[in-house]
Amino acid sequence: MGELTLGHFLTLSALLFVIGMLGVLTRKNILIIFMSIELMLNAVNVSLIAFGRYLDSIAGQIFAIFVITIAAAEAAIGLGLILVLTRRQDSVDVTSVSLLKE
Amino acid sequence: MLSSYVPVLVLFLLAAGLAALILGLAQIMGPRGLNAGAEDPYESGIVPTEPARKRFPVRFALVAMLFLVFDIEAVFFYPWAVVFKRLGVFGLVEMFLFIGILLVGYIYAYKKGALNWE
Amino acid sequence: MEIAPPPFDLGAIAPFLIVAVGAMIALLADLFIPPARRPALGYFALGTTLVAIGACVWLWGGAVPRLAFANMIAVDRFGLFVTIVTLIGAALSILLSVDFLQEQRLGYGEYFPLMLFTVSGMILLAFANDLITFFIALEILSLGLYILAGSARGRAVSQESAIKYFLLGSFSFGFLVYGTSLIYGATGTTNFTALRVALEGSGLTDNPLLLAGLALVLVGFAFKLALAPFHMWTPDVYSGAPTAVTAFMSVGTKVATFAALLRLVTGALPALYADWSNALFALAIVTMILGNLAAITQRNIKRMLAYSSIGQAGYVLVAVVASDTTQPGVNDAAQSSVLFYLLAYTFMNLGAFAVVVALARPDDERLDLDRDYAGLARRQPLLAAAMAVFMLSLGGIPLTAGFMGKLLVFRAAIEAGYWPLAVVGVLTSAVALAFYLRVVVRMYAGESRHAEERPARVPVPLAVVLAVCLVATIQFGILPAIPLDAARGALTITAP
Repeated sequence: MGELTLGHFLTLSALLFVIGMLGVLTRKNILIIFMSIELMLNAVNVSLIAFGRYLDSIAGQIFAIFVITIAAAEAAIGLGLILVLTRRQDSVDVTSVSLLKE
Repeated sequence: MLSSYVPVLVLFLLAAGLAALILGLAQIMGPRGLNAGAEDPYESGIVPTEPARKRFPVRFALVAMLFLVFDIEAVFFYPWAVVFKRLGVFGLVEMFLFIGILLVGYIYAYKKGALNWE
Repeated sequence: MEIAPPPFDLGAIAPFLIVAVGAMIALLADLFIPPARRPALGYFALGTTLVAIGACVWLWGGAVPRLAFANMIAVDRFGLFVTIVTLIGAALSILLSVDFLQEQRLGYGEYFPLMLFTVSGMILLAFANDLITFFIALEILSLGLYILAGSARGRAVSQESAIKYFLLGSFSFGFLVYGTSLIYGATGTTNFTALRVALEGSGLTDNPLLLAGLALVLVGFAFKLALAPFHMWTPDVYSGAPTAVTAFMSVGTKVATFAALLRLVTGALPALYADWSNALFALAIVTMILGNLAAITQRNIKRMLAYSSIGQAGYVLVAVVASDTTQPGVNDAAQSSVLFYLLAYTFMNLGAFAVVVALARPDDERLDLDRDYAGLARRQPLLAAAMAVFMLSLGGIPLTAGFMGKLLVFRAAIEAGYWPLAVVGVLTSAVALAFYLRVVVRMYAGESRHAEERPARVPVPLAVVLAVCLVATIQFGILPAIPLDAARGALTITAP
């Protein structure tokens, strides 16, 4: 078993980020798009923590904590917006909403 | 070196033993034959009272959102608590300011009736 | 061991504190006052922004530049200038909203507190001197706007606008944060000042992590600033959101985000000038061409103004590209033209939206250029004249603020050697005249469809907004000395 290097973490982070990005671009369900965005932010957290560890700098962790907080605030607002939208449509099934298609 | 894996082995044995025990008990004591519940894909033998795909009250989502917002403050409390003594009075005052700002949000949610289940 | 806290310089962030505390007071007051008295909150919010402008003026005269909170905040005249412009935009938008919300029966809800929270984010963005402060500020601003865009809860278009804005905004935020994390990883610091020092004369400028980070950050910025080809969301979001909100976000967001972009690229990454100026060069050309061409075919005034704002952002970007800090004279001309353009844009664009707000009826927002604007000059000569001035200014006709802005921007581009940008800018401005002048022609030559109905009454706050925007648009076009001197005085992006 080789040692885990910064490269491993960055690769993981980049892969997660791309998966999230593809999710946003290809999915039509608002909730799944939203989850993909969260995945992108968490991919960033992986890279931040890895950088913080390998650079021996605390800023990476502080950065990650703020990203988590902002992701939570975004989640609350996103859920609120989706809630209002589905109330209007009288359905919880957001797959019927394909707003991103013009 | 290998001896350090003994606890892991014990854990595996315990887990396997417990699984075997539960499965065995179910085999011996469980009801036999077909009833309405046994045909359903995954209802653990309990007959469902109504379809599962019904609308959940919006309140659940509201509570989830509030939980999310007020839960995330713990992210800041934890590192603060770790260095609390070294931060001294400054840290205490800062945290009270932080909680004060959160309190504004709490009062708002409370007065708007967001915490009221009925 | 005691941890020494960084010095606590609350005076330095006074404008931010005033607006943020004002927002919290407004939020709590909202709970305790009867719905009929809600407009009072609007005037409270207005007062808050005016006090904050006062605080900015006070800081402008004081000891600047100063760094506060462990260098995470840089209070310099650049930030103060931008903050004042943002606050003026916010104050005018608040005045615009007071009667609009009532007229359109949108309900006040948390409108004014949210607006103040958003403004606090914009102020923090203008002062952010650290990647962490920067992205928190950007998100405070965006989160408020997502909700504001959907504040017309009874209207499907408003909800659709909010969801689209939210999804694309958070998507772009992902890019931005990923980019900042890579920049941090490559340099080991998040502070703008430290970044500049770390990059100066180091071998780091070819670091792939750093360059990838820069590229991702620029993509994030392009989304937020609605630069083509990342502008697809803008027309939908702008046309779906309540008009007063659209006015606010088309102005405030652009001003504060451009300031942050300029501070990041010239304050922290001057060593990468060759890289970011090339990327922004391409973005500027595509933005100017696409924004202005797409605006020609629009029949809905809000969609037209949305595409117009994309084109305008392209012109500002031209000056950003020219901000080469290795040539002080060129850089000064470029940056002062950015500031001047943003100021001029605030007044002329808000003025145009104010006319749209003035024409809206409770049952019909009156957005169709052919149906609702034709013959406006006969029914409402004053409103039509005001709209004509704003259109001419946005189109860059001499004697208006827009013309001076374009002149300064293109001159800066030529001085910096970017004559292709200036050529494309002039050509697209000529194309843009087609759709700006079309509005004027419709108003003065068309046949009115609503000839028999009584002209809309313009409430006093709205009249004030129109008057301020008109005076500023014309005054800055004829005598640009005062704002221009202020912009030139605001050039020190903190670099101690």
